[in-house]
Amino acid sequence: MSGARRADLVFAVLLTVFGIAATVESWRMPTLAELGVDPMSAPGLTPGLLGVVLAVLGLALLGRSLGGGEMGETAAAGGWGRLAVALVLCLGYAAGLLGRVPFWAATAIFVALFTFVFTVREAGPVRAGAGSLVLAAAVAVAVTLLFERVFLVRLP
Amino acid sequence: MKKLFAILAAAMLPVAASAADYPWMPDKPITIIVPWGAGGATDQVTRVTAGVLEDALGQKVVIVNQPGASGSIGKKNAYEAEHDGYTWAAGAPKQLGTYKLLGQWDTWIDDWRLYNTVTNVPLVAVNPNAPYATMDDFIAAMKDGGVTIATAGAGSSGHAAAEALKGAVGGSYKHVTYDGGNPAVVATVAGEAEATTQLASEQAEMVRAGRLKPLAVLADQPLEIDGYGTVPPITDFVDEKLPILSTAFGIFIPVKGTPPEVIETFDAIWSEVIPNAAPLKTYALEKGALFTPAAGDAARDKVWPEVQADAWSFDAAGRTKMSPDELGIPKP
Amino acid sequence: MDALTNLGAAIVGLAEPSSLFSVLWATLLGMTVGMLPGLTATLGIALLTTLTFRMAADDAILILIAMYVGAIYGGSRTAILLNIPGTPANAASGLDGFPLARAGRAGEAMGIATVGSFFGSVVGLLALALIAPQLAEFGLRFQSYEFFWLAVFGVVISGRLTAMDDPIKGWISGFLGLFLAQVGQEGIHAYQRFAYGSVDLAGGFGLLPALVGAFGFAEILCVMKEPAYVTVRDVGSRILPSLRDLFGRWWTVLRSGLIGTTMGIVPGVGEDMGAWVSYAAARRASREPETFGKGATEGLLAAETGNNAAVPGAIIPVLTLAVPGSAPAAVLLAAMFIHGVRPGPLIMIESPDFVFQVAGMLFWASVAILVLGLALTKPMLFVLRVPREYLMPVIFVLCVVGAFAIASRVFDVYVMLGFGILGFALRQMNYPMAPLVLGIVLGDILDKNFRRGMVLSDGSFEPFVTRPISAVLAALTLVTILWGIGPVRRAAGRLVRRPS
Repeated sequence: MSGARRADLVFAVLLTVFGIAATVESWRMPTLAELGVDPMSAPGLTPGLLGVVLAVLGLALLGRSLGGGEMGETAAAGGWGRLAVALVLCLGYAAGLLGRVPFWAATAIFVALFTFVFTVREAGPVRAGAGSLVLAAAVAVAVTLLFERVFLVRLP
Repeated sequence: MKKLFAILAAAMLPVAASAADYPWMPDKPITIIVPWGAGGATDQVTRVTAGVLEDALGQKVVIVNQPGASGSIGKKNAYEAEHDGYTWAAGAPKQLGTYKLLGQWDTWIDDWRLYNTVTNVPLVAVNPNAPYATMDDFIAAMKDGGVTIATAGAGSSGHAAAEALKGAVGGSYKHVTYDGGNPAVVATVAGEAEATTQLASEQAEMVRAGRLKPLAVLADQPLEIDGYGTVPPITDFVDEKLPILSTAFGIFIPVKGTPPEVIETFDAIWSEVIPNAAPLKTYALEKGALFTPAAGDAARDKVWPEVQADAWSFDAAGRTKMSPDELGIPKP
Repeated sequence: MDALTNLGAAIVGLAEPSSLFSVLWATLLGMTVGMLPGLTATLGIALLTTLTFRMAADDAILILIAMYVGAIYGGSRTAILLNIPGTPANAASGLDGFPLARAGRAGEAMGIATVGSFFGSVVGLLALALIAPQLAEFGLRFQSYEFFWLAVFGVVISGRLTAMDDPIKGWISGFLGLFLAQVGQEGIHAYQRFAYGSVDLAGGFGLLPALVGAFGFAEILCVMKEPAYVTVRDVGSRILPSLRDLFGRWWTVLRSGLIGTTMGIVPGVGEDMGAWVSYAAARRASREPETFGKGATEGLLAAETGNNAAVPGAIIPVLTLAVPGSAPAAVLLAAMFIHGVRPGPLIMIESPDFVFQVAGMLFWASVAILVLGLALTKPMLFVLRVPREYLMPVIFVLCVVGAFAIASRVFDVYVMLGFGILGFALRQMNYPMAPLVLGIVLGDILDKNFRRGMVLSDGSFEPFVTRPISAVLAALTLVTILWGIGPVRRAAGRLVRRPS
C-alpha cells in the first residue's frame, strides 16, 4: 500500500467518524420548540445534514482507498526539519511572544531570528546577522506605522 | 489640488485638535462597534453620530461592524475590550435590558452608560401584491394565522413589534428572519414574505417608490413619510392598548472601569454639541425618525419604558428564560 | 443610445485634474489593501468612509468606488506572485496565475489580470448604465431557495475545478468549509452550536483568519518545507498581452464580464462566485481544458474579469434598490446615505444622472487600475526575486496582523494558526484549499437560507426544485457532481459514442 493510499485511508476513517459525530451532536441540539420556534428552523438542521454529507464523502473515499480505484499523485517528500523549525518559530511568535512584548519588539525578534536561522549556513554568521537585523528593523517599523497610522487598526 | 493634499494628510495623521477643552483628550482613534451589518438603521445613524463626535473630540472615530446573534456579539466584544473609553458599542439600548431575559447574554442596562440620538417607530407594510388592502384585512388574516412577517431576527425591533401586534389582536404569524432590517424589507418587496414590521426608517425609500404598501404605524400618532403621505396609527384599528414600540438609538459604554473624565466629556458633548448637530437633525427628518438626544440617567429614563414593553411582550410570547419580575422589570 | 450619451457626458465631466488625482491615490490605496492578506475591500471602504466624511458627496463617493475597484483587483497580485490570494475573491486567480509565475511568466500573468480586470469593470459598468433597473429586478428573484442552491453549487464547482484528477477531495474540502462555518452562534435563534461553553468558539471561525491561515500560513509552511526552493530569476519581459491574443479571447472576456456582473447583483455571493463561475464557464468552453490549473492564461483572464465585473454588478442593486450585492457594497451604500444621496427604486426618476455619474466613476477607477497595474508590474516582480528566508517571515507578520486586525480578537490569531496547520496537512494529501475557504464564505448563506426556505415551505423540499431558477441551479449542481464521478462519466461517454 502506497503512502498516499495509507494517508487517504486514515483520513477517510477520520472524516467518516467526524461526519457521524457531527450529525449526532446536531441531532442532540435543542429544537427550541419551547420558545414557539418553527421546528424547521431548528439550529441542528443544517450542520446535521452537512455531517451526513461529510460521512458519505468519507465512506466514498474509504471505499476507493480500499478498492484500489484511481489515485492522485503521492505528496512530495521534503525537508521536514526545516518545516519544524519554521513552524516552531511562527507559533512561538504568534502564540507566545505577541501580547507579552510590544508588537514592534516581538516582530523584530521574530523576523531577525527567522531570517538568521535560515540564512546562517549559506551566508555565514556576520552577513546573516547583519541582513536579518536590517530586515527586522525595517519590517517592525514599517508594519507598525502602516497599520497603526494609515489603516487605523489595532495591533496585537 | 490643495484640498486633496489636505485629505491625504488627514489620512495619515490624527485629526488636528480643533476641539473644545474637554476633561478627556483621546490620543488615539476611538472605535464604535456597530453590532449589525453595514447599511442598516444602526449603522447609518452611528456613522452620522461618529462624524459629529470627530469634530467635537478632534480625534478619529472608527466604525467596526460586528453583526450576529441579535446584536449581542458586537456588544459583547465592546464589553470585553478594555474599559478605557476607546471602545464603544452602538444600537438600541433597550436590548441591553432584555438579553439576560432571553438567555442570550448576562448583561444589564445599568452596566452601561447610554447616549441616545434618534428614536424610530415600527411600521406595518405589505407587499403591494399581497391580498391586504387595509390594516383591517391584515388583522383579520393574522387572526386566522395566515400571514408571513419578515423581521431582522429574534429580539429585533421588528420582532418586538410583530409580537406586540399579535398580543393585541390575537392569532399567529409565520416569523421569517433575516440578517438585518434592510434584507427583511427587501424580502417583503421581493414577495418572499408578505409583510414586515421593521422600522419606518428602513422602509421609507420603498414606501416612497410604491414597492411597499404601509398599512399602519405602531404608535399612537400618525406618521408623516416625506413623498408618500400620512400613515394612520394602529390605534385607529385596534382598541387594545399596544405596548410602547418606539426604539431609541444611540451609543453606549460600560460604566464599570471607564474613567470618569470620559463620562464627563461625553456628557458635555451630549448637552452642548449633539442637540445642535445639523447632520443628525437632517438624518432624522429624512428618515421619518424623531431626534431625541439624551445622556446618562435621562437616556436611561427614556429607554426604560421600552425595556418594560419588550420584556413583557417577550414574556407573553414564552420566549423568556425567567420572569421579567426577577430582573426588577415591572409590568408597564 | 441616450444612455450612452449620458455615460459619455459623465465620463468627460469627471475628467478634471482633482478628480483624477483622487481616483489615482484611492485606487492605489485600494490595491495596497487588496494585496495585504487580511485587509479587505470592506475594511478599506469603511475606513475611507470615515476619512471622507466631510468631503462633498461626489468626491467622497468617487474615492470610495476607486478604493473598491482597486482592492478587488489588488488581491490578484499576491495570488499570482505568492499563491496567497489577497481577498477571497482572488482564490480562483491563483489557480493559473501562480503556475504562470513559477514558469517565469509572472509579468504576463499580471498583465492579463490587469487587462481582464479592466474589461470586466467596463462590461459591468455598461450593464449598470444601460439596464440597471431590469437587472435589479432579476436580482430580486433570488430568494431563500435560490440562495441555498447557489451555496451548494459554489462549493461543488469550486471543488471540482480545483481537484480535476480527484474531485472527491475538492468536495471534501468544500463541505468541510461549509461545516466549519456552522460553528458558533447561529444567525436565527442565537443558539451556540458546537461551542461547548467557550466564548471564543461561540463567536465562530472568522472568514479572514481562516483565509489568511489556509492560504498564507499554509503556503509559508509548504515553501519552507521544500528542500531547495528555486527563486524565479526569469520573470519574463512581456507584460502587455498582445492585441491578437485579446481579440482571440473577446468571447471569454465578454462571457466572464456578464457572468461576473450577474453574480455581483445577487446579494451576498458577489465577487467570489463571479470569479468561480466565470472560471468554470471558461474551462467548459476552452479548446484545451486540460491546461486549466497548470497555467492557462485563459483561466486567469476569466477569473479576474469575473471578479471585477462583479463590482459594478454589486453596485446595481445598491443604486436601484438600496440593497447591497456584497459586503463592500453595503458599506458603500451606508456612505451614500451619509452623504445625502438616496439610492433606491426612485433613483432612476429622482436623479438618473447619479447612476451615470457612478458608472463614470467606475470607468475612471478601471482606467486607474489599468495604468497603475501595468506601471507597477515591473517593480512588483521584485517580490519574486526575494529569497524565501527573507520573504516568508514578513508575510507571516502580515498574516498575524491581518488576522488580528479584523476584530481585535486574539482568538482569530489562533484560528489563523489552526487553519494554517490544517491547510498544510490537507495540502500534503492533495486537498485544494480554495473550496474550503469558499465553503466558509458560503456556510452562513447556506444555513440561513436553507432553514428559512424550510420554514417558508412548511418543511417541504418542493420549492427547492420547482421554482425556475432553483431548478436550473439544482440541475447544474447534479450534472457537475455526476460528471466528476469517474465511472459515471465514462458510462455517459460510451452512451454518446455508441448509441444503440
